[in-house]
Amino acid sequence: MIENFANLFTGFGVALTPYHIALMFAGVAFGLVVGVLPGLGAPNGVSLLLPLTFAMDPVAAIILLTSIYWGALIGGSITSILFNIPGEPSSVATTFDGYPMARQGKATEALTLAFLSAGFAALVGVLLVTTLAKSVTQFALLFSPIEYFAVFMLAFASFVAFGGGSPFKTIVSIGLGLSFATVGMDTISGSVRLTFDVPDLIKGISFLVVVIGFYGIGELLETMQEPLAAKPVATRLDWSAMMRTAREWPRYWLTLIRGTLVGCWMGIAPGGPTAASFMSYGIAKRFTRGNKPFGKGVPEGVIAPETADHSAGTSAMLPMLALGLPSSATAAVLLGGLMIWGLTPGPMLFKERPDFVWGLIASMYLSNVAAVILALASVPLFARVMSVPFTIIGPMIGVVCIISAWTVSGSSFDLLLLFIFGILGFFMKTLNYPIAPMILAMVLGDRSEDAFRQSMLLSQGSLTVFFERPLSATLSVLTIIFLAMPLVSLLRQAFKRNAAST
Amino acid sequence: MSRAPSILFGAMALAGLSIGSQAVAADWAPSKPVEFVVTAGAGGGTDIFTRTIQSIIQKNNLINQPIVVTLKGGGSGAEGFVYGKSSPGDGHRLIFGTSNEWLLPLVAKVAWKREDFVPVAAMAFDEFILWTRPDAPWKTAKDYVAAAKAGAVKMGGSQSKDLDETLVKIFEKAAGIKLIYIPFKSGGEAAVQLAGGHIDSNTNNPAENIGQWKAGQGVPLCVFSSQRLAAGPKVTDTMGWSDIPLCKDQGIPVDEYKMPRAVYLPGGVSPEMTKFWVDVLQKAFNTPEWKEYIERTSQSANFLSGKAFADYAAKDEERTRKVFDDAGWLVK
Amino acid sequence: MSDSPQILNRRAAEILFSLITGAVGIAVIKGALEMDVGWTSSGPDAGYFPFRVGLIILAASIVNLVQRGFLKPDDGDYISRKDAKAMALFFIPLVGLALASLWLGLYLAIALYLVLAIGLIGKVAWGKAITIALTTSVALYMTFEFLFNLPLPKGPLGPLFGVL
Repeated sequence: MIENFANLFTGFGVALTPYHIALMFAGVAFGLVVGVLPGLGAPNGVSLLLPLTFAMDPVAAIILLTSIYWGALIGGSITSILFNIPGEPSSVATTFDGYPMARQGKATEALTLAFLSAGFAALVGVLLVTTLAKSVTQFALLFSPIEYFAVFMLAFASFVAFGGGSPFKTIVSIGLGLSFATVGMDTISGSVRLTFDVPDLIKGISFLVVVIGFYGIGELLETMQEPLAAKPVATRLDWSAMMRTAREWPRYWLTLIRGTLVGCWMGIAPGGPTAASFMSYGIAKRFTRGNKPFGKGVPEGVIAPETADHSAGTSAMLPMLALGLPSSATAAVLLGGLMIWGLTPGPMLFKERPDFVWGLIASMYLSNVAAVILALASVPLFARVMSVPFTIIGPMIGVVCIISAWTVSGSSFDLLLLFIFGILGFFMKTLNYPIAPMILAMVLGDRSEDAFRQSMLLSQGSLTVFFERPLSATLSVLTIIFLAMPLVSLLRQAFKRNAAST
Repeated sequence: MSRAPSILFGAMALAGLSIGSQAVAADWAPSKPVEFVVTAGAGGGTDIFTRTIQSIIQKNNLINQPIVVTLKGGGSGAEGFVYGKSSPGDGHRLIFGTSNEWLLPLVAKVAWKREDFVPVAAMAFDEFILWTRPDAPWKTAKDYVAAAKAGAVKMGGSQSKDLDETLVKIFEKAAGIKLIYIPFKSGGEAAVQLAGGHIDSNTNNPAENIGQWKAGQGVPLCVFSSQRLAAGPKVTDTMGWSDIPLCKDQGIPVDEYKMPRAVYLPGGVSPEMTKFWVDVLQKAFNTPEWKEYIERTSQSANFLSGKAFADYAAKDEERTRKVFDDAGWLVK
Repeated sequence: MSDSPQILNRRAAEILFSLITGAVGIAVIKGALEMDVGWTSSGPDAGYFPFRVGLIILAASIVNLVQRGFLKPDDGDYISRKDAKAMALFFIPLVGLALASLWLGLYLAIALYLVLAIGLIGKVAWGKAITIALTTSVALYMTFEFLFNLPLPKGPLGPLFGVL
């Protein structure tokens, strides 16, 4: 470990040049713009600038591209909180409490909390990469499809609870999400599923188009129905609100640490940032004391997904470098970059190119700090957007939705899907069908089906395989506990009532 | 001086000019930004192939328009071909892929046929190697086959009914064995699963497994080729690419199995457009950067265009169709 | 609640939407049946999960239909005529924008849409609406074409932009 810090020190020597620092700020600023636009997303943003890096030194190139990633991750939260449209898939969970906070006139507070938590979690993620690189890599190698499936189920179980609302509506939501995820080419059998002979459906239904439709168009339709909610919100633009929030922020240390740990784990093992943020939100909701009204604008509801999202983002760099295994879409693009610059990702990269690896790790400390600084500096600007009258901001959001749906894959068929999902979203929101379980089902749906079927191939059809090895057994048991918890608390309540009456 | 020569000269100049302008009219060059469509996901072999060509063209100024790379890897690359087919006759949109252009229509209901695209060039041929985990009880391909005859051996690969599984089918038939094939999303994933010891073997391309080989987390048993790979520098302390034995010398009669890295144009493009791109790609092929890419990824460089490429595609389709028919994969 | 007459009350909407989700369920079942839906010695076939997911959607939709439509009907307000008008005034121009962008290109269509949506429907002063429309369109053009180097459809204005 001491050796690692010595390496890190050399890394800072590599990263701390004026040129590299300029690249970090430029990358973060570009990333913020990419993150704010819902359709573009971090993977697109990074691959747009990839050609620029061909002529660059690999260290400079990776610093620029990863900085875009950090900027985009943070930028995604801005649109989530202000407009209820997730700028990045991984910031869907930030809308749950971030948007209600903004509607209550606390946009500045929500944004400040989001950025500080993101920065904190990102730094913890990098610290983990720095200190435990080797053992963490070994841990990642333990994951076969069997463990993948167990993790996906755990993520799902920790988020979805049938509390409140109609259980049958929740079931329909989950079913719809699973069906959308099935459309397209199947990895395991290679056959084309649920495309109904529409050529445009072979590529599958893009998760981003669903999110823009449900949260963008659906949300706008709902707002049209309740003109009261569309009144501009008077938002205090003063820095004192930011300072006050920053002072109060350490009070949420438990949520911060919990979310960060969930994120680090999901960044290294298979989950990825989106699943991590949902899981962290679900865990915070269950374990935060004092029956806080989650979903109505509680700070913990912003902190939990943001910490998980960002620590997953930074710690995902480790399996990418050390194993050549990308656990997020952006990491996959970076991996391609690595090979084009002539590097071979894998366990030997740390020995062959220490300057590159440690330069990158050192830069991650600096560029995440840069991302938080730039994002905080933009808070007053974005908070002002909230006071623009709806007659102007409404059509502007409409334009953003259209252009975003177009940039997802440049297909006019996606525009049609956008409107269909917009109408579906309106009905689901107003008829109290929960949308979040549908989104999570879509994120995890086909990955868990793949993992399950791969597991069955490995075990030749034996279902007990999920309980045979220590890691998968632990995860499976945790999943069952999470699923059973609501039942247990129901029973306990019933028992208490009984005891009280006798 | 008499006036005749100058008139003659003038006439010659005029003739030269008109010939020149005819040549210009007959030639074609892109007049707006060019789009390179990758029919695979980010970070995969096709992505790197496309980006390499893009960087060579940019560095050497081979065309005077910017290049935009778009990733359309949905549905094993079907997304990219459907997208390419939507702009017939457009010489500004190149599709980068492998033999998936003619293999996908055989196994899936997709909206194109092999003839819907104009093959421009195949530029590299990627090798397939039988890799195994280092702690496996077998040390040679012969022992591997013997073990597979005795019991269940797990084989991982990238995608289903795609190049990897096709090779596994050919391999099974040739060696008279039955393997448990487990499809993953990419060769990279199959490499990591092999390193973790969750599968026994895979058929990755050299570049997909080199990181693991260097670290002692994967061992090559044999290469599915008719001649040994180019030597290059040693990969591990004791072995280099050329030290890997041929599968056919190990009692596995699979003569040769390679994956072309190829470029296509949408159907309906003019011969001038095709010629323009063949020339550009040929120039790119002759650069040192291309040689470096070929060496680093241990592929074999071979430039096929025009009829040679079309013949290759037709022959490969015929051979693969038989394998697919045996496996019952052909789409009805 | 609303003083405007209702065109769709909550009960009708619940019935309508459960019919829609039920139809999705049937479509999923139908799509899954094109493949094998069984369980083989090496695990589930390609249609195994989609088939069951379709059945579950269909069953849950029927429960919702019976519950919300007949057992526990709620005849409360859902969409009034006024709501419908406001929603149509937002939705239809946006669909118009999408269609127009296919042959006018995105930037021109966006400018036209914003002028109409902000000026005509939003009743903001024309001068302001036109300024906003042009600024947005140009800003988007600069962002996508130059910052991102990501060409979006430009329609008949394309050649003009080519000259630029």
